[in-house]
Amino acid sequence: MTERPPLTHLLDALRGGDRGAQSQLFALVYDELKRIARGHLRRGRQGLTVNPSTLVHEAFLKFHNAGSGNLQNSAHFYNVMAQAMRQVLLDLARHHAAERHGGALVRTELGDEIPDDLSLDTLLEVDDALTKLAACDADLAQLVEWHFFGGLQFTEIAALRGQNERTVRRHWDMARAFLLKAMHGADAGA
Amino acid sequence: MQPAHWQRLKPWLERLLDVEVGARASILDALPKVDRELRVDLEALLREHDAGASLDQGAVAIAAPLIDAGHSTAELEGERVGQQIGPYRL
Repeated sequence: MTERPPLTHLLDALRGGDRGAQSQLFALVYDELKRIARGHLRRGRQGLTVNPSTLVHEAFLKFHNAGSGNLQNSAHFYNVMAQAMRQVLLDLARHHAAERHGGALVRTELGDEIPDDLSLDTLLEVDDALTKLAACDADLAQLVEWHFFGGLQFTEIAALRGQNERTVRRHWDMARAFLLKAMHGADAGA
Repeated sequence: MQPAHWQRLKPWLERLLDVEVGARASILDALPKVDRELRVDLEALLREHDAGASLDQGAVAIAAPLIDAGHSTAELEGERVGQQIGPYRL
């Protein structure tokens, strides 16, 4: 049996461009995020708040405590986390959209409130707009993934990027304007 | 939007967002007159910016009703139960 390699080794492999390592780490993070989300649900439906930053930090602590010593300030870690968050949330949105269109949505004890179309559409539209942004501006697209999907705060992103918080906020404003313009079909520059 | 067009817009947009609203007109007036599209797109981006803090709540907050429905999370999870991803136990 192969022992589980420490995540630090995976991150080293990622830096070396190992795509296999990327998919392994992605799958691990993906699963962890869903487990954490379920934990939040179990802890109480009343006043449910899911702070995305908390999800990322819980996952970070778990990995860190598991012996992954140098994850801190790893842009790779946050990239993978944010991409996993994006994937999980879009999977949920698409799953609900398919259920809605197929008429197979069944209410469960936890599911009395069926999500409205706005949530579904907004997520799918942001994802589509973010793909357009990535084609134009990789830096701003990474900022959106970290902040919007990964829940990283501006101060954390500023530290990771070696920028001041004001710059990160202004870049977020620019990225958000791009996304909203694309979402509203006003992309006249296409 | 084409990448080259965005790269042309970007420094102007950054300047425009860095000043008070009242100071924007002079910046817009300094744009190359021949590039009508540049001004139209910058004005559209400013309108989106000024419209409010939409998206600031983040994806998880927007998706809260989806997560709150619970059963889909469980179903998505169920698809992976028992699987082995590389050397990892799930």
